[in-house]
Amino acid sequence: MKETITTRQTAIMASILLFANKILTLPSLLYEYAKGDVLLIFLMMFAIDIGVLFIFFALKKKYKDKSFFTLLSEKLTRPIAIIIYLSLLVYFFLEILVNYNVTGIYFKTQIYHNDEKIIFIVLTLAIFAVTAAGGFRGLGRTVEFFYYPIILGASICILISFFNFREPLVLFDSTAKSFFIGAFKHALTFGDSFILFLLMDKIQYDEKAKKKILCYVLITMGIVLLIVFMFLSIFQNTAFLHSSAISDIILLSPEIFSIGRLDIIAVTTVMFLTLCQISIYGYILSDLIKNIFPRISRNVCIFIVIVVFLLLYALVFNTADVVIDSARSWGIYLAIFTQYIVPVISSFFLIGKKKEAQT
Amino acid sequence: MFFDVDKKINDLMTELHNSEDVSSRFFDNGNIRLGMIFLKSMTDDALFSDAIYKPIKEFKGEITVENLINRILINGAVNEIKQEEVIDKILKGNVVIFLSNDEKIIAADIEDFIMRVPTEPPTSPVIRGPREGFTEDIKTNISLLRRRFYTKEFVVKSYSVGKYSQTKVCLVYLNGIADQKIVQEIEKKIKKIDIDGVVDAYYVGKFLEERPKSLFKQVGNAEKPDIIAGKILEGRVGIIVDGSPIVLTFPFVFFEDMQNSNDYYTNNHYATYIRFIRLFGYMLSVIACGAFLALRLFHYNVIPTKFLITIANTTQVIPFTPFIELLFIILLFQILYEVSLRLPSYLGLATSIVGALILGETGVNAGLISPPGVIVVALAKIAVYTLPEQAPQITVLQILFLFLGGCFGLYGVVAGIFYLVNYLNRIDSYGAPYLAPYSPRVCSDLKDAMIKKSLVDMKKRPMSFENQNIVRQK
Repeated sequence: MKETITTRQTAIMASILLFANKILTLPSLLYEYAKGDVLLIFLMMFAIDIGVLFIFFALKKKYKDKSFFTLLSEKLTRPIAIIIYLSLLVYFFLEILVNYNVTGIYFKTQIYHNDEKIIFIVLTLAIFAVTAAGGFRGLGRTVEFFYYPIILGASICILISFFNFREPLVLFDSTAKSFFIGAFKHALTFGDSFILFLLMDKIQYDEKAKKKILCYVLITMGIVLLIVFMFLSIFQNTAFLHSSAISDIILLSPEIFSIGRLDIIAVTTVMFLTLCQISIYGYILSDLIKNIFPRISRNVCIFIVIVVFLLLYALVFNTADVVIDSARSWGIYLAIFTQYIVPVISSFFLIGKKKEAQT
Repeated sequence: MFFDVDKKINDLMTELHNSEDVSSRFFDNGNIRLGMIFLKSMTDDALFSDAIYKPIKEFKGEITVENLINRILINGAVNEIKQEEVIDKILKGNVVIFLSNDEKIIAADIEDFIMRVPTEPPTSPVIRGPREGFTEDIKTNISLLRRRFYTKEFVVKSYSVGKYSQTKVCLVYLNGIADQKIVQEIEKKIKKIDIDGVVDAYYVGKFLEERPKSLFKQVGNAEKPDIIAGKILEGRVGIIVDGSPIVLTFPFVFFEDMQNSNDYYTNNHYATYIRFIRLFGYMLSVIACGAFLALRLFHYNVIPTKFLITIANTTQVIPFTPFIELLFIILLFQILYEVSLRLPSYLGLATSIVGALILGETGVNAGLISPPGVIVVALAKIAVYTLPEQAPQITVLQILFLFLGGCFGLYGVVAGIFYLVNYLNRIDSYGAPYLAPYSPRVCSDLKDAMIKKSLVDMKKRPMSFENQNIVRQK
């Protein structure tokens, strides 16, 4: 029997990914391009993400229990579906490597002051393997369980950061060109709504699904925007020097306890977030392989993902610079294709008679 | 027609291996011979004398099966039984009677054995609420429940489990509330049990769990009838096992152990507060040792400076690594715990003094263990008993988290929690998700989870598992 998750769990999965990708390095990286207009980039990209969500809602309504791969195979032929899924595989491997490196550096600077790569890689891959092997329903419930602790952790960070608040930042202080280049260069970090397309056959889509998913996604977007706003307000012109937004906004808070010690809240929040995110990506990667090679068992798919990840990490993407350079160069085109062009192509599947949905 | 009563009794004695407690009596009434066989150890001597022996001896008419049932043995439960039931009835405290003029067999139930009266169970003392507890006698236990359900919908189904023990196992539920699929599934599993003997409810519980090899318990258990009655009212199914004062319930969810019968006889705000204390105690007991080790080894900058200085001062003379030191204290505590459990109570106090005062104090003074280590382990070990039902698994988890914290630091502890939650989320107990009502969220059940609402607000039965009738009150 196919394992399914509830609408709430789906909404939380989308929210977790949306949250995890943006609260560490992204605000400071974007500041280099867009200065105080980073918030506007977030708003623009979030608006696009919501647009993608609406394509998903329409697709799910029309093709209720059909998987995205089946849909692509039926509409665009199986070879094309396989090509799209192979590009998705590359995209998700890049995404997981970017996140792995970024959080790895974050943990190293914050708590593991010596070179502790082995700790991070062993535990992360172990968690990925057991959660992916444990099934999608268990993963959905786990993410649901940790949603409120994560939101609570982020909210505490935001509350503490109010003690460091200086003044609202000035908007529109970058040029249109740098603004769009900033958004373009970091396309890989946005577009998380696309994940729902890949899970569409595993979602129990009830009457209030659309409302629930939108509600959770909008709340999470609000929290991300608040973190970015606080980050820019606190650090202003030196924002580009602070590479871990959620952690840095609670620095220098003598009013609460003592300087630097409250990092543990942000660090723990990011740890749970990272584990949720990597488990979801891991499951999706194994699911992509399963779709391309249906005869392979789930456990073999997980094994393949781990081996490929380790090979990619050991041979190519072993430093953050290489990964971020890739994400900012060829990764952009891959991200735009998978996150935006594929959903747009899928929107053409909506054209046609309703009868098709029943077949 | 004449039946050889002596031979029948002798055959039965042989079948029962001429055990010391097997007894027989014979009467001659005219040309009718009557033979009785019973177990002295399982029957009431006085009742045998007054309700069976004397009436038969003093009866003036002809002894027939009909007379025995309707006119002679009128003080007890007397039934006609089949040949294949004879041994079973003898073993269960019946006097089996044979007549030479009739092939029919009669059994009179005069079962009696030493049994304690229902008292307050030592594991579940209460400040308010009923104090009676289950006993080892299944009849007493059923009657304790029956007294709470004067309804025809209270169903008791009985089974015999165990090749040699033939233990009576009863399934109790409320018809019209408990889901029939759950009842049938449990029945099916009980019937499937093929074991030599059942000496406690735990044996049966293991066969009914969905993942019997798991570290985590998946069965609710209580020693108090009010708790079981409450669970039956929620739509759960109870399992009573003869010889055990513990009654099991299915389906089971983790947060049941956060609840205590005291919570229902006190103010709901106070109950909520206490439940959070229990949750905090649970978390503290599981991760305190691992987290302390992680902070000490990897993230000492998080520890307040004054406490860090104290740790540095007290640990500089310790010959062990922090990991070994904590492991040593944990093992020491566990040894003392085991010793105090097994020793007679008058020696237990002495052991506590030797363990806590002499070993602890001397260990610190000798530089083998440090005061911060002792405090953390003591806190973790005491906190275990905020949820005594979870104590066995917490004890194992403590060691696992100690390893994770020691080897991987805080990320190890966090990954451990993540895996633990993921693992628990994969367990279902007869359709009830183990971590319900939090994951998946079941809104109506949140009224009696960590936050306890007033009884008047709990209008529905739990929805984490199937129920036939969801409405509890209007």
